[in-house]
Amino acid sequence: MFPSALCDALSNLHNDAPAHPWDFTQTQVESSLDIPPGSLFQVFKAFDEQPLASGSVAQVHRAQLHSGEVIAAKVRHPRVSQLIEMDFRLMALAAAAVGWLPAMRTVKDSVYQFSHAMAAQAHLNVEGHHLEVLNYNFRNWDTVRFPRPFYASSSVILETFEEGRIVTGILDDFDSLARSMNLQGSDVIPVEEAKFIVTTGVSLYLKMLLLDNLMVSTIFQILVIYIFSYLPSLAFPVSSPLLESYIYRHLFM
Amino acid sequence: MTNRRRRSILLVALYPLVNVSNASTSNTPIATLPTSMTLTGGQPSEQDIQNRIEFVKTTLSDRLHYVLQGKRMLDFHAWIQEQGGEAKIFSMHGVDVNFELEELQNLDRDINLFPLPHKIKSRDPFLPDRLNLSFGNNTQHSFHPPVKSISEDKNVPTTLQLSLRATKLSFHFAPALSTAWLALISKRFRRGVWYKWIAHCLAESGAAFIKWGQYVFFLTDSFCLVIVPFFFGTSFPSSIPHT
Repeated sequence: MFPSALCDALSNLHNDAPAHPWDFTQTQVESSLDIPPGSLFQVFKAFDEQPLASGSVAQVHRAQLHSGEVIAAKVRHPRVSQLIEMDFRLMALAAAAVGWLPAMRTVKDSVYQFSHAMAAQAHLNVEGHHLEVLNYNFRNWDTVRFPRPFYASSSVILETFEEGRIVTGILDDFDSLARSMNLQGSDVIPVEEAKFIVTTGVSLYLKMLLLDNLMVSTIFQILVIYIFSYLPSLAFPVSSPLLESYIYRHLFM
Repeated sequence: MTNRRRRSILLVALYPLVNVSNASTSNTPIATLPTSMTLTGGQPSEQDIQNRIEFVKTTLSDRLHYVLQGKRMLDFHAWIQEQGGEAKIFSMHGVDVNFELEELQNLDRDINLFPLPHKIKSRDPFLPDRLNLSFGNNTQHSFHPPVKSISEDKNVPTTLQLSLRATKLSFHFAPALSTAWLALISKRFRRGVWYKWIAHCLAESGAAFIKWGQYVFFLTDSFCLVIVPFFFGTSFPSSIPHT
């Protein structure tokens, strides 16, 4: 569809967006729940001011209810919805303008498909519904699960806390390990683990794309965040960063 | 015209009517507000505020247990069966995304100057009878002042806002656009520099562009390009188009 060199460059687009300030998170959560300003800690026993991760649309905080359960709170960044709305309109105009060029013939279709199917991410209540759909559609898959939302508004999702690691982080760790031993990544990753990641990942991706009609751009993040905890422990000595539990809690960010 | 197309067009045509007619119909509640919370007008008293906080605290805990115990999944399953047995994905525009692209484009031309689906209900685009994940406040008080960042969801951008945004974006993309001619004639520049500039411009331009860039990348067969060479230490012997 696009030149592979361009796709390689786009592969470096990451989600380490700047986090928004704590005050904004607090205001969003309090406003969504319609509780008075400053009463957040009367509703939550704990709420981490530092986000666990920040993406282009939202950031995720760890919180704890008074009943003791640890949860994840995903809070949308300031003005994201408005900016996305404007940008998609401008992108559509630009795509229509360049669509007459032979090389850009597919851009317009791409923008259409993308804006319609993926702009839902700006509205977290839509994403909350999609999470429920995913959990429902994958209910018979033993090795895959997604966070389960129990509250959602347009700017906040509260959901169960699932631990995992981003798949590219795992690959990078194996790559680093392999480099230190003058080997390739494929030489150090256990075959069973590699097979599990690839087969589960491809099946998951294709089911979401073809059967569930859900396009996900950040598939690498999703893949092993939720399936990694099902992997058997790695049976060879590795450096501590490889096994360090970096808790990464978000979907579609 | 296929049955699926007819059904889709009918759904869009009837949606505003259905939506209006159901505007006063509350969504399926998970928790109900205690009758003691049904207040009369005026500023909320300290007791009202404490009642609200206690209600939210209790409701969140109850909901989490409702989810963890699997009851939510059962209710969701029942709701899906009522909807015809298929869990649908919705877009921000309030319509089922199971549309043919051509239908969407035709629809857009009829209802909107810009070639994008018209927003039907920006804050809560679900169909009225979906299971609800939010909970409201059926008292006559609001316990938190309005927040601009939430209320702006309802606003459709004005021409002035679009113009200003376009100006800002044009600065972001200026380096890449001004050297497009060079990229056109120099493969080395295009592959070595220009594509990276494009990626950088997208990264600097906000969530929509980042998401689109990721989407474009993953449309290319990402597993073939990245996963397989990593795990098996080799690239495909043939070209990607051939593969």
